[in-house]
Amino acid sequence: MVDIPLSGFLRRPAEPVLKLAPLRRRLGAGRRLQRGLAMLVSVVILAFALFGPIFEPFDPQAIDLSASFQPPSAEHWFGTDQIGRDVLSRVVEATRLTLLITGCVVALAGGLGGLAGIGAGYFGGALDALVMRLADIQLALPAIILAMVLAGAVGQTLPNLVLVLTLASWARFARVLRGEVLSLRTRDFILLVRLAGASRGWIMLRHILPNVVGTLVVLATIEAGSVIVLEATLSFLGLGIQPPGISWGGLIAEGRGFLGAAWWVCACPGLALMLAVLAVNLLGDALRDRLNPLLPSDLSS
Amino acid sequence: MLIYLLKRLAQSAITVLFVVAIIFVVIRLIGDPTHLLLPPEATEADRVVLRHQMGLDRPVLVQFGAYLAQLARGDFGISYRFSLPAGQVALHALPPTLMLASAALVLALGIGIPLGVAAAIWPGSVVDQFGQIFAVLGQAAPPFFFSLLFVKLFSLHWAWLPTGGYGTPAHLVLPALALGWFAAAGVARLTRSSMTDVLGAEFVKFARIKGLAEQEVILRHALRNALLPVVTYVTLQFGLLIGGAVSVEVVFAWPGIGQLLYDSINNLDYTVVQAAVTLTAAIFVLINLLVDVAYALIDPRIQHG
Amino acid sequence: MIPSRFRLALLGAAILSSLSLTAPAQAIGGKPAVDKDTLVVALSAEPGNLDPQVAPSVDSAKFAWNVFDTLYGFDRTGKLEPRLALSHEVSADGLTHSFRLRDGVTFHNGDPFTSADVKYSLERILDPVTKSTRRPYFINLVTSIDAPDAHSVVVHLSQPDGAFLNKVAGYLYIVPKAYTQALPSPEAFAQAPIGTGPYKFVRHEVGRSLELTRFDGFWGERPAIRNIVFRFIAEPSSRVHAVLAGEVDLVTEVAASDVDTLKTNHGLEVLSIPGGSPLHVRIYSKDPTSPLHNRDVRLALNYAIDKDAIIKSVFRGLASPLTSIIPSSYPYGANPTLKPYPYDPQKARQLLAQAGYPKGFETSVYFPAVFARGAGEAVVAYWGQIGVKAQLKVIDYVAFNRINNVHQSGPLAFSEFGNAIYDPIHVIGGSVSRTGTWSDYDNPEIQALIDRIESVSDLEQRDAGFREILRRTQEDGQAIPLAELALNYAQDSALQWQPQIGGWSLSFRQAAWK
Repeated sequence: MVDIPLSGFLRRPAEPVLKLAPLRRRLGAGRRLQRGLAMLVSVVILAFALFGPIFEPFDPQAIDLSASFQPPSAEHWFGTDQIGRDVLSRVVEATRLTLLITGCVVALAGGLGGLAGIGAGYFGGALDALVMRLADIQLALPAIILAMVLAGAVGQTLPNLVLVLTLASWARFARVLRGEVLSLRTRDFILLVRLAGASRGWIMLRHILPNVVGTLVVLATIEAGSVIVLEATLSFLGLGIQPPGISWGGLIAEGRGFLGAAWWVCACPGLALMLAVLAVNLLGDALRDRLNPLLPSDLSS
Repeated sequence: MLIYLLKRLAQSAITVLFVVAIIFVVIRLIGDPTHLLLPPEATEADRVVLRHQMGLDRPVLVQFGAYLAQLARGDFGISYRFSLPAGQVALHALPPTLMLASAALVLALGIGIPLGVAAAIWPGSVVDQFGQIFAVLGQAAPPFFFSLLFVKLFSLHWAWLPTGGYGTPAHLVLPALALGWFAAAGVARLTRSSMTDVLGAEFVKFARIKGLAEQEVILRHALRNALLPVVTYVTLQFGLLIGGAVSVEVVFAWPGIGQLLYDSINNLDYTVVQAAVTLTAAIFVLINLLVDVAYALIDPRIQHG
Repeated sequence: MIPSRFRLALLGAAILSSLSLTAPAQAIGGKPAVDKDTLVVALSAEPGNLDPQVAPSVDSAKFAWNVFDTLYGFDRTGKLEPRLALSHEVSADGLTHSFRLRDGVTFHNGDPFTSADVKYSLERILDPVTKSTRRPYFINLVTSIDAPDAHSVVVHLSQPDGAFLNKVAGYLYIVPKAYTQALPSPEAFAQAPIGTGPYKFVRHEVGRSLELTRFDGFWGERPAIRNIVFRFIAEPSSRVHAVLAGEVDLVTEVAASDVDTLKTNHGLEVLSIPGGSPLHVRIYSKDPTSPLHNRDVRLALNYAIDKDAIIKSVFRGLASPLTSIIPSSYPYGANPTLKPYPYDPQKARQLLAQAGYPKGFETSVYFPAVFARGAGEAVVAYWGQIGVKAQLKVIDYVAFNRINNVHQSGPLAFSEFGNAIYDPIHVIGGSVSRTGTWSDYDNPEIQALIDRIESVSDLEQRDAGFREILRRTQEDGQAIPLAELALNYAQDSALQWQPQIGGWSLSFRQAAWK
């Protein structure tokens, strides 16, 4: 599978690119407001994840069969579910596990996939061929299929879920970073450094890595959104987190049968999920602008 | 060129083979279908008899070898569940998914490209901002969520479209929309960024200096270059679309290969799972191959890269 | 000035919220989905294999009663009635069953029905090559079957079996000998099945639909509706949407939480029928080191749960209280004199202390993913209240079957028991008997009763025998019965059809449009 570095042949004369660029002037007030809100949402989500119980008006596991399917009210802002549990508390509680899973997956997929991609791009040859073949295989096996089959084979535990999601996400990191390294490799300043006698390892450490870190970070924030959504789809298929653990995806999947009778059980976690993914994506865009404006602004190819 | 083609064909075949092998082994790890097929009263002796009849008591390698030999004859085996040829069952389910994925892609390109181009041409405008929201929203929720919402709105509340099933073009609209929005989002973002980059490039400035009309600059020169990465992205999306298609197919009772896979894995219908995965992998690999060949024809340097 | 994207966002939010506040659309009541000659039924899953001898009961129940007949069949309440056989006799020693067959019956392909077909059908089930899922029921029971003349068969058993007629009715689907033997392989039958039922097979599109049409040569009462189309809609809310939009006439497996919203719709009729399956928690009690070995602990777990509250909230009232693992909807064998254990957490704690667990204990319970999750979480919460910390292990259907079959589903597991033969022996044999594959329960007194009842044919005696067994299992805390769930159907108000009570077989022999 060929990777065309996105605008490689259009790039301006090379120079090291890692420096904090001034925010582009054309960012209007609207855009800044958007990003401000994204920051706010992210902080709230982080707060929920770290200090969840403080924000939970009720115990998320507390069952009250007499209060089944209460619509949103002053007492229960998001209503209650089928066995009387407070939906708001559950949404807050779910933040922790969702973020934990997402964080682990992004770290693992980004780390392993990134390393594979960087290695493939820099060293080329057999390593490159191997990594690309593996990535091909992973892409030819849709994530859902892999998840379904693996879940049945190795059981549905939290580590296995992280494994499945990681396996489904690493190839994207590998490809993008490989493309980045490929294009960096041909840049003038690298050639100059090599001519000056630097070893490959030195080049890798001192010149390549710092330049791709920015890409890695931006891609990670964008992938985080995908992982959250993928986990929700897995929960829909019954392959997500097992009780008593709860995640947003799990809550949405659980509540989808009640859209007619009690829409709030599904819609509220859904809203939370959408806001989170929105925020994380906008943050990724902001990061990209700050760290690496010369990079192509969509890194999902 | 021929060497490149052969090389790529060989690589593709290896990829498919590995996919088949992985699925073959992993699905046998889940358990064997006799536990599902026989009632609780059955004893282990009964299960042994059935397993033998199904050929599942042989070592995995032997089974795989036999399977490959069968595959060479074009025989995917018999489905345990349907007692029909597994290849036939999988092939029957393929057209609906291809139809759905294609429709979703067409929608994605048809909505995403114009949106992305407009956003790139008029940065900071309403179109740009709408495009941003549209793009991010499309990927901010799982496809099944949108599917359920669409059904509530378009099928029940406004009764414009059927709630599910397969048969007429009307049945295709909602599933394609639910799946396509997801893909359109990605296409719009990519087109916008790619177009932005291209518009800032030297050769575009050069074209402007030459005195060409703005429209011609955009459409003839910039767009063509900007679309190259979009094409790459779209081929990569195919795998994602198949995955996303599973949940959309389940909600809309769309008889595609995604739903077949979900069903068959749940029922441990080995032969159908293997056939379906082989087919999807083969198609994915084929599409990649075609795109690569197209690129190689455009840019000969790639053949040696 | 509000930035434009926020206006857009507000508009989006307004649309979304208006969605949730809308009332469900009115179904097109009184107007068939296709026409008055056709009935469109939405099923939750494919029947899969159209060979009724090969398909497991949960699949064959969807179509087999329309396309095939058995020698005896079940009426709507589960009582046996003659179908292809007119009479049945058991010898004094219980080892010989004789059937007198009906005259003038033809198969869908025109072949006449004779005793040779019955003999062939049973032998086909016994043959391993067929891969029949019903083989375990007959293989250690039937020694031979004779067809002395064209209208009688005699079956010889290796031991007496009081439920043999039930098994014949539930499992022995009759297929045509000449036609089936001439097929190139056993699997070919599923591709073009032929039976003696009122409907014949037209077309099966995998994953899409199954079509049947009326058979004019049927031996019995001609059904009113000419065509039946089954559609497969896996997602529960999609099934409900389909009937609301008038795309199907009848939908099966409606979730309890949807019943309330559907009831308000005047174009639909909602039927809630006892499902005949006991939702209970099975207990592995054999291990002497386990707290569950102690009867008081088992009873404590029973007293700790407020079953009525669960029925009201999780099942929206669409379930009946359950006193033992044989629900009251059974035609015989249930014990109506038993009272369910009341909700008494204090007594539960007392019993636990008595048993030596004043602080409770830790355990785990398997929960099949297909059950309503709320029930499992509620039960675990109730147990938590008396100090029993149980980890809920949600498990998918495949894995659940496997670990059950190998006795690995302990110490506790939520279970149901579908029963295709309407005789309690199916359930008792599976989970109470010492040799039961789904239990390790071993109570010598009860076992003696079970052994004795296996050979009893007389219905009254069987009924009395099972009542006694159930009384003792309840006393002993053999399991934790929760509820008998109702099966919910929603149909067009112009459709006249009644579902099977205590079972999930679908039969449209009596269905008609008003």
